[in-house]
Amino acid sequence: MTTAAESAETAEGTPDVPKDRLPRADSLVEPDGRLTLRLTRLPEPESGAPELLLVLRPKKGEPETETRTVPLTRAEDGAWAGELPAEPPLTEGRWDVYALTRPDGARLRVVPGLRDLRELAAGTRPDPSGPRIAVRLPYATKDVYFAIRAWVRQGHAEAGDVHVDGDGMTVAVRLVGVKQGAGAAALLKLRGGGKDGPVVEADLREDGAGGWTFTAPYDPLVEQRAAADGAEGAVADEVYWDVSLRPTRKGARVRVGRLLDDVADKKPVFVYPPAVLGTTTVQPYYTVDNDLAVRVR
Amino acid sequence: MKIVFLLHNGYGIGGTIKTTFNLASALADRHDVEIISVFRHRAQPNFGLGEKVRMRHLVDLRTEKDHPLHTTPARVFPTSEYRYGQYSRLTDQRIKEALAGLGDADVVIGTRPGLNVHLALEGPRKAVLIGQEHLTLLNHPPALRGELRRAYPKLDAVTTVTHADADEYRRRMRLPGVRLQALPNSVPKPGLPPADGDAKVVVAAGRLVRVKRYDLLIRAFAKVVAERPDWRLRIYGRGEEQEKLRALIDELGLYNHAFLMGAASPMESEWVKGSIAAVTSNFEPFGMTIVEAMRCGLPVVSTDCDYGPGEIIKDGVDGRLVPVGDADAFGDALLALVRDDERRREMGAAALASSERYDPVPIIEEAERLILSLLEEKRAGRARGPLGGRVAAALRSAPHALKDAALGAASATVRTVRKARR
Repeated sequence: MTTAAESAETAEGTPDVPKDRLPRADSLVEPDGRLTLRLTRLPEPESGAPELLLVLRPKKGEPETETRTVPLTRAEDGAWAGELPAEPPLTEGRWDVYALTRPDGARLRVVPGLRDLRELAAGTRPDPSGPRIAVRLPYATKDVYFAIRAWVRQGHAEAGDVHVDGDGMTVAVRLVGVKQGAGAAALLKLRGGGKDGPVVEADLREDGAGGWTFTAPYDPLVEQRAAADGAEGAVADEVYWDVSLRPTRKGARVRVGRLLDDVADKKPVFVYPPAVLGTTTVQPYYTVDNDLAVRVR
Repeated sequence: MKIVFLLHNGYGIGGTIKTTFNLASALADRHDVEIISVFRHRAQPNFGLGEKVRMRHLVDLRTEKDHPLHTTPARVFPTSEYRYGQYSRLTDQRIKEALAGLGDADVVIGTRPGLNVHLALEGPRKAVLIGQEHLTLLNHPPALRGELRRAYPKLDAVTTVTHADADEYRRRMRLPGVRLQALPNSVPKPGLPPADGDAKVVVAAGRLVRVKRYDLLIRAFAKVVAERPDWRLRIYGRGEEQEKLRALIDELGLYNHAFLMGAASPMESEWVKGSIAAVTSNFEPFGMTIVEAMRCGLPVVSTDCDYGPGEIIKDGVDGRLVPVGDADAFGDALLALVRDDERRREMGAAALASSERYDPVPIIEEAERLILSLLEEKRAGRARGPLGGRVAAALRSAPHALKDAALGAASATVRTVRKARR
């Protein structure tokens, strides 16, 4: 009989890994924001204590660039416990999680157990009044392994409700790590348009509850498309406008996104109605990185 | 004891699969438990299965979909069964072989009508044969009831998930010597603390199919939003109604309030993010999600549909029962709990306490008692009830049998026509 470790090692990365034998991670965001992990089904280490290895997922075909280890200690019930420290923050991206239980450093993938993220669900963590945000969000990958998504932003505009009508969208935002001043505006920038590419600006208004709203009209997006249509050369089937925010006239732009809750992948969940203007359809959406953008086709 | 479950597809999603996994996992602490999944279409099951439970499949749809025998209609699996179209000569053959190979099994348990028929006809005679009804008798087409009436007398027991359905079986079926017992689904204690009742979130979970009436839930929730715009609705699951529901959310302007979350497993991590659960189904043979939500400390607002909700929820104590199909009444029931924090928390606490009766421990004990007494009976030479009892049972159910036979013949004709069109 092969042990779980052996079979997983020989079959690493193949769908034949017996998932029900792999180590399982329960994760918990504590009321104070700490992220604690509890591992079961971990093979007994031959010596010393096991560790978790976090690997920043590289682009397909590229080598790994960053890893982090998390020491594990034996819990009373025989499981292994660890905590992912808040500092230094995880680099933005997706971190795959492995267990290291053997001196030769063989990696064992970890499958997701219970994820107690109710603290995040309220949308108030991490404290949005801090200078920057560092979000850690445990999730299950598409092929059902345990992983952690991370975002680090020096300044951020957290999107709330998005209201769509026939000729524009109104977005509520909370500013994190930046202060609004004279010349503040929301910016819709044509993706791939280059440094001096088309930008549509929208004024910020106070919402009376410490947040801000802006209304981005769709007309300029439709006009840009019509102009591109009239120009020489092929026209893309659809174009995208990324939404960011300039807190002051000279201030560095921050992205508008939705990072401060428990939903790892916003795109299929926060879906907004399309608006049809003539032959053009305009629809706000969240990118795979959970940033707000507008699709025009 | 060696206990074997015969399941349609252990790799799919649904209440029967989940409850079978729960029961099998709990029994595996003390017994040798195996699940035979007729079909397999993916590498891993969707739900967690206890480490001690073995699962094997009979037909691998990833490689055998075009097997010549699989494109030939089944002869053993009843034509009137809902899933008849998925079964074939290949399943006939493989199920028969699998059952013939279970000479060492003490108990074999079927989990849907068509598989129970296989079990009745081909199950190992030495083993106790139990047919589980996870749907309900009355909802079966008359032709299926007729088939079951013919096959089920060869089983040792039929279990239903509610008392109401067991009563229907007693009233309408002539099953002399067959034990009839309600054995509710079990739900293990969640691995995380219960909800605290503070979250302004209503949660629902289930396949996005017509019978679940999530359209009605969304309409009812519009009423909540009108008064309390700080509340949100999360619907977990996927299914063919997804696009229709999305359109309805847009039409009602609820896209900042009602969310289609996709499938989630385990669901308990999601229930605890809410403080009220909602079930709007037209029909729930049992209602697993009701118990799941209650075990996470949520009061459940449910339609009072046949049969589960009324046996699980005590209206006004640990949840609410609302007439079927009434969005307005459903919205009112939600609002009453949305408005009243204290009542919501009280009901949540009551739900947590009362749902303990669905813990696997008492349910497994009940199942074990049933199995052991059936085994004893069987070993004592299959002593069945006196003849007088059989005749009386036959007389009682005869009118139902005649009616089903007539209706069954009619519907069989309709089905033949439909098949021809396909």
